[in-house]
Amino acid sequence: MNARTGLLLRTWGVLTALTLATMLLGKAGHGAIPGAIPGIAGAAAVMAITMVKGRQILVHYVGLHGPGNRWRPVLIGYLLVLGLAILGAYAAGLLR
Amino acid sequence: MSAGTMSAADSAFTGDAQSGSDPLEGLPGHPMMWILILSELAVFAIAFIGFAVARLLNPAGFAAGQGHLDPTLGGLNTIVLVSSGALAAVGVAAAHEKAWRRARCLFVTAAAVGLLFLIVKGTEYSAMMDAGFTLDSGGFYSLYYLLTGFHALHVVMGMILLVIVAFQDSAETFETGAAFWHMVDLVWIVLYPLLYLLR
Repeated sequence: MNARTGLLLRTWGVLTALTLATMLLGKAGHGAIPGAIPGIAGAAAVMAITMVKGRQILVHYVGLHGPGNRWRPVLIGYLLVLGLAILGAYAAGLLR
Repeated sequence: MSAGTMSAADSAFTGDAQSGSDPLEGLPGHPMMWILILSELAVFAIAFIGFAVARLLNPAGFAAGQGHLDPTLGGLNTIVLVSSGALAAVGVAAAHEKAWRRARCLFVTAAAVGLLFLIVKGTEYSAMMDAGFTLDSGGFYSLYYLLTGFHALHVVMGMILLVIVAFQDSAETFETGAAFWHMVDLVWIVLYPLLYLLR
């Protein structure tokens, strides 16, 4: 196994572990007493993990890992803006 | 995108690639694929924000609808797609080593794993429809079927693309197919918490 394949397999392990973590967070959230703060905190944690997973895919799977790759910040920025918009709408719903 | 492997048509498309001002420089695969990928990412972003705003306007209706989804199935499908994405990425690495047979096997396996995603999704659709929840059952259900159906259509297209590029002995072509497949993966990574986890 060469270094690139090893890196990709480690990335797969990280993505799988993070997916399991979000599944557990989701289950915990559904059992929680309804309330704005725990809901927002749980949602923020889920979206933060989602952003990390997206970055892993972009950098390692797609291969935007070269130094000075100008598309890496653009696509990670896309994910961040989208994640924040979703989280903002969710938080606004809880605080209404 | 490798300037060294560009055809005349590619060079004409990228225009000033040789001068170092190629706007798509640094993106792997064919630039036309990236025009498509960036367009698709914009469309999905608008659709996801639309879903989030619709839920904001009807929280009770959406909470009831989301209560009928199984987060375990959504999580399972996430693991399926990231596993398929890993196979495609390793396939690209094999193509760069000109190990065409290995690259081909990895891409066809990645497409087959994609089929597993569709089977799980079909199981979920079947359970929802058996329970009486269809495209016409209200705001949440309409958006659920449209978003997941549109994404599933991309999974089907991605599987076809993976199989087509698997039989070309060109690393750039492998990169092009894998780039589309990773976009499908990336979109699901965001769609999963939006539909299944944020309630």
